[in-house]
Amino acid sequence: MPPNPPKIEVHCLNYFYGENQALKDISILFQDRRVTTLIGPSGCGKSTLLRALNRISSSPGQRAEGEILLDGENILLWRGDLTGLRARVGMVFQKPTPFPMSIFDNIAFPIKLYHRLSRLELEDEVERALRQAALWDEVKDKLRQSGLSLSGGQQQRLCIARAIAIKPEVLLLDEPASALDPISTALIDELVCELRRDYCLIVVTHNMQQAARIGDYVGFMYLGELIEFGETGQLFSNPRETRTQDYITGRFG
Amino acid sequence: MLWGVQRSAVWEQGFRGATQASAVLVVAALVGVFALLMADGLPALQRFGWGFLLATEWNPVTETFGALPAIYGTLVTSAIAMLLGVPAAFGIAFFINELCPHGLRPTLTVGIELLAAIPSIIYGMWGLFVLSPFLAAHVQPTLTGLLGPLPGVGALFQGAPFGIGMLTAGLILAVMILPYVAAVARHVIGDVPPLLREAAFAVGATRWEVFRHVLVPYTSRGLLGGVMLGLGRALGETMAVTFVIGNAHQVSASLLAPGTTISATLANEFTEAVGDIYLSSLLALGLILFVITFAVLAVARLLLGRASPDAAS
Repeated sequence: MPPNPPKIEVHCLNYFYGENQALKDISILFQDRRVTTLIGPSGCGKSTLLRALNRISSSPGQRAEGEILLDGENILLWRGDLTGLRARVGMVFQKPTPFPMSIFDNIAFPIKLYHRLSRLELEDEVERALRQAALWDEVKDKLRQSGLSLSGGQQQRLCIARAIAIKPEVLLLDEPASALDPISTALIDELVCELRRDYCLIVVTHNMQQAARIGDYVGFMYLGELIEFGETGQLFSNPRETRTQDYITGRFG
Repeated sequence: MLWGVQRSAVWEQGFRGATQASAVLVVAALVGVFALLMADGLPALQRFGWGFLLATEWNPVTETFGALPAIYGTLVTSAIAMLLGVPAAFGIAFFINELCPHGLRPTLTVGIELLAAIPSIIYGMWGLFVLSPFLAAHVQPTLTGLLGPLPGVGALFQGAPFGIGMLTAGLILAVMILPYVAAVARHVIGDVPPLLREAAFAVGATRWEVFRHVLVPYTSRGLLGGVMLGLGRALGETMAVTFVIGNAHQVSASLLAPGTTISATLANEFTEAVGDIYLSSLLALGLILFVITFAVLAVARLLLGRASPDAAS
């Protein structure tokens, strides 16, 4: 598989919550139009790394050193308004987070933040996002119903549709299937593989089968460090590090 | 074994009975108050008929009584209080939850709670001795000058700046309901799942957009509950209002004019109500307040049911 140009470059990232160092000297490249998964036991820093990429964390006392380059621009230096960053780096969370509004408005809300569209154009955009998230056929007759009326798996796909509705360049998924049943998980996996044609995808997961299924590249993290990074097939079949070997064979974590 | 079963059964029965009795007590008190107000207000209602609600004259000498000024004053002062108090309370709640530096949070929270602990008579005295003279000297002349000449709204700001009047009463009420509405709002906004909040920020919404489109709709039931708590208090508040409203039985378009409310009328005139029809009219006023409050709560329930049919899950 030929490498694509990097979309996000992380150089020597150290991340602190007060006195606690959550990330130690992380350097990693995320290629455009590829799926990169991050695996590792709970508390290893994979979510912290993911949440640093669109600077969504807001806990007091947090501090980042190093560089996170989005198309060569260091986002850690951005001050003030971060809405522009969030428009380029979308995110989907562990649990479905539909907004308290109709299915249609869940998708239309972020679109309307950035574009002034006519009703018809807006409807087209909403349909496009829902189709891309493989949800259109299930909800097209009930767009006026509350987003909360959907099943868990549908809600999560609604959140993915909402994230891609504003055409971000990068999509972060933080354990997107951890609250879902196997069938919904399979649907999300399929969707991720579809989306890699258009986006740089970064997926945090606890589930190594999922990482093996969907990832082009995988990074294994442990205690705040990136232990190993490589092509998925290579890392799972022939890891260089014993700690990686131990984790993927289930000896710890 | 058998004793254990019996004992627990007896205890269960007793506990059940006790809780049921408590519940019945609420209904009994409610029905009792309603019945008393009905019975004692009836003579006035029979004498004046439905016209009691619309008549503006309140004259103990001629024994002519009309409830409109008191009803009008009650509704207008409460409306002013809600208009000024509710946005401020939401703002405080949002600030404490979302923007406030962590160190300042407890101070502000306790400060708000202390506002609720001040007795209403203190509010009344502060209103009469501090707020009214200040409004009369500085605020009301400006209002009359700026807004008075405007068509429509201008009618609300006419007349001499007495200081006391419906606007002042509404202002005091706004401060008084603030802690209740703010406390409830702070609670329900604080209970919003952090993920939902982050999800809203993650689509690039600003703080205002997150507040307006996600937090407020998500917590609408709770917020409306807080608003209704405040409204209930504003409608019934007596002491503070009596101090600053001027206690004049008149219906005036101008908010600067003195007026009265139902509870202020009751507090002022109960002791001097001579004659059956006078007393009966006062109790009929009480009945009207009872019905207004009841209607407000009923409407709130209806709205709550409709606002978010499935947001509770």
